Amino acid sequence: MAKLDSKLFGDINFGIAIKLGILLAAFGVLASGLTGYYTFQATRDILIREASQDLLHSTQVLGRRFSIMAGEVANDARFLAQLPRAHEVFGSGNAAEISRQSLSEEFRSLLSVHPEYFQARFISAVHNGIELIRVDRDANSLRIISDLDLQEKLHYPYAYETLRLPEGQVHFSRIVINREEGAHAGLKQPTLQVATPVMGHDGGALGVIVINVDLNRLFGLLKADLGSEYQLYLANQAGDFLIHPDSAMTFGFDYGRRFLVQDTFKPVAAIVDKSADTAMVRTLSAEQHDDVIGGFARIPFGDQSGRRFVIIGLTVPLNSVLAETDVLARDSRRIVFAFSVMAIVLSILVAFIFVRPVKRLVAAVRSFAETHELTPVPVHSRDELGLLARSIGQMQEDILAHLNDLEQRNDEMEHRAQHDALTGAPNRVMFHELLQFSIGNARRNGSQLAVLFIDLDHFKEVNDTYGHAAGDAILIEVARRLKTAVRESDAVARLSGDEFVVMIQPVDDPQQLAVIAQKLIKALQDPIEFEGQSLHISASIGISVFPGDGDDMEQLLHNADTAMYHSKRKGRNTFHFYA
Amino acid sequence: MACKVSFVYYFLLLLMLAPVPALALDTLRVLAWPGYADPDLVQAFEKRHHVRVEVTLISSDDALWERLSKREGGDFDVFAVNTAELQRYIDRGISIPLTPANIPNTAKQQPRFRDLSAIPGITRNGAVYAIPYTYSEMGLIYDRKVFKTPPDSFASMWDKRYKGRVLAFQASAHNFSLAATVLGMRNPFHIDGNDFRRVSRHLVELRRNVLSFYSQPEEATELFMQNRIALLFANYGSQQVKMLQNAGADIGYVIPKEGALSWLDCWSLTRGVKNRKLAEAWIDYTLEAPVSRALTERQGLSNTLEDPPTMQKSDKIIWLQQVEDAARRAALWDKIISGDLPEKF
Repeated sequence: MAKLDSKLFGDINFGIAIKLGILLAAFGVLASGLTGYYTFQATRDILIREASQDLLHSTQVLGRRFSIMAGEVANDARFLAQLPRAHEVFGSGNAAEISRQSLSEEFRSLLSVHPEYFQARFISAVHNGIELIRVDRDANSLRIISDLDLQEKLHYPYAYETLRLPEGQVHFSRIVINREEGAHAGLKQPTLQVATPVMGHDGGALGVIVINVDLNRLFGLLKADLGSEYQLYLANQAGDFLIHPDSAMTFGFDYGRRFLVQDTFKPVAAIVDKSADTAMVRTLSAEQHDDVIGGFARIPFGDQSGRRFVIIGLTVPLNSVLAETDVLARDSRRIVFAFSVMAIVLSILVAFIFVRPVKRLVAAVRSFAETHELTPVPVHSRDELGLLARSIGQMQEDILAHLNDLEQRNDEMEHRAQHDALTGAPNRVMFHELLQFSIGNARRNGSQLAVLFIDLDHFKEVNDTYGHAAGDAILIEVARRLKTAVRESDAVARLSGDEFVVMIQPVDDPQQLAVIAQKLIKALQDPIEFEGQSLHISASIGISVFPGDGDDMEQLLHNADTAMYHSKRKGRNTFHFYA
Repeated sequence: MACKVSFVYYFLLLLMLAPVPALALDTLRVLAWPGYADPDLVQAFEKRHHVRVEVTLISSDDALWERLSKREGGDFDVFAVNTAELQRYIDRGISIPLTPANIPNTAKQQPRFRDLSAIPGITRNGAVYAIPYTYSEMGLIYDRKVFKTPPDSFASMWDKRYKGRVLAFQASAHNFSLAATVLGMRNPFHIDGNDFRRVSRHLVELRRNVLSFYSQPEEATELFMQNRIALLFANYGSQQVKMLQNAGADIGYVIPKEGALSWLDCWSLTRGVKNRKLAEAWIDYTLEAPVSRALTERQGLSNTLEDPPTMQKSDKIIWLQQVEDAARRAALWDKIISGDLPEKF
């Protein structure tokens, strides 16, 4: 039972600790993990959003700078158109020739301070738009083109459209790949043509000034301030890429294909169809390291109506934006890990804090069960466990009280079973046990013992004459006197009615027994006071001795009884040995 | 455990729901241009023949060549190509001869498409390599307010009376062929070496007479509407007529007496064709009236079953052919468009 108990209790406290620990730890780890994850995600989203916003802002700044630069080109064109010599270059005379040379020098000096200009020209309004002055950038030098190398340009929009403009107005061409032979450095390069009319004195246009701008160089200047991780895009109104990190994607329309910004970056479609001025983009590819985020903006330029615009975009690899989040992710992981470890340790601690008083309670209960002693339960907290401990203490006290009570009753019952209720002397049952035990002892020791059978004389008559109460008083007094008359080691018992028995042990000398018997007879002869009367009583005694008069209890008792009857026959108030 | 079981269950369910690979069905691989094999028409064909059709679309001659030359046509069964381009596919052996008799709907085509030997480039050594499907002729669009009677010759584009009111197309080969035709040369696709100077200078004259050269039909429409244009060389044919009419222009369309240059797209089989019968059935199907008409209705392209209303039976169509030296024409054209003086040629 004890073994079973310990197993049972052991399992229980171990199990609760583990279960509680795991539960708390799991909860702690989960909570810190989820918090970490969501914090990371939220921070990431915020970073991406902010980066997109920044990109859009940069794009718009870039766009404004582009507009300003375009405006500066326009101012240069206007400056050339207003030079007085521009009116003097027509004709074939010497003066015209000198004017052409002088104006060519002006053009050349303009180009020399503007490396982003490919070409500057003065195109005639007549003769199919023949070039009057043309300065080309050719590798590192500037060339003044003359005579047969000059070309007719009236079929180009920058010529025929500009001729229709009023003075001071500027024409911005579509951005195209320049396929006009003779543009040299500008040949097959993305080009923006900026043109303005040269007015005659009569108000009619004499020709146009055209400046070809190197678009890549222009945007190179714009992009110079940006980090290398930025990618710049430029698209025309229809969305065709004009500048793209992969140059194969640009000017697709020039050879019959279309590479559209809105195909690569869907949200830009809103700019193309003019329903939005800006768009934030984010590509989502299978491989995140290819993803980019960016901002695109519609940048009006040229005419005031704002109908003319380009789309400028900046993108940056998502990874470079999220480089900061790598640190965040690492920190998050560390924090989550640390919190998880803390959660686990705390869980174990909490589990043990909870289980220790339970264990103490269990130990207290066990010890109580084993010893039945009041064990103070060592839990003093004011919580439910303390209450439980106090309840268990209370219960122990109650159980102990009950147990004591039971024990007392038990003793009483036992006493009653072995003793005569009236006299308090051992009864027959107990005497038999005592005798049996003493016979055994005597047998082992080789000693003797004696049984003195005592029967009161004429007790019935006394009883009848003075009443039962008197009889009882006599019996009580007899038992008392017998007890006082014998030694401590001897035993006095009431067998029944007026029959008493005394066991003397050890018996060294049988003659001594006669003395004892005489002493008993004499002790009983004294009158017994009962309610003012003196009652006289005597007793007949039969003596048997072990082992001489019998080898066992029955024999001894029987023989003592026989000897007692012998005394009765001899006239009572005497004793008689069996042998 | 229950979780595991349900995973397995869903997996099995997914397997059952997953589309059965169409191994059982024959597959026809079509390489064509946008609008030649619209999904609804393809679906009807699939249903009728219990096959699967894989349509791959290309949008340039270069892309077509790239797709077909990569595995010598092994990736496709049937493809659409114009007669001029077809030549290099025949040369390379990618295009293989077919039997027009297996394509009964050819009988419904207009006479000019039935006489295959009369269309340059379709036949070679007596074998037929392609079946005409759609075409677009390059006629002349004119402002009806300027012309009381339709111009009858491309020479009108050179007419000084319309200086600055003519729009021509920005393309080297076509413009040389056009100028050669106007100059009355016998074969506009084969300009004699000595004639190049003449043709080039004639094109300089054209340049001096036009407002500009356009590339896209939308661009042409815009230029036409904004610049009082009298004559427009319609590189995109009836498609452009439609666009201009939609824009509100009062125009007429004519095929001048010299005849209109015209590209002609045909179906041809590849040497990788897996199921010849099926490929022929596809060509036959595209020549059914509803399918061919869809080309006209949806794309504004002409079909081979009926002439467009703008065309007369007597109109002369000059099917485009490979030119004698495309690079030379391109180099010369670059100088012309750049504005070089006639003395430079």
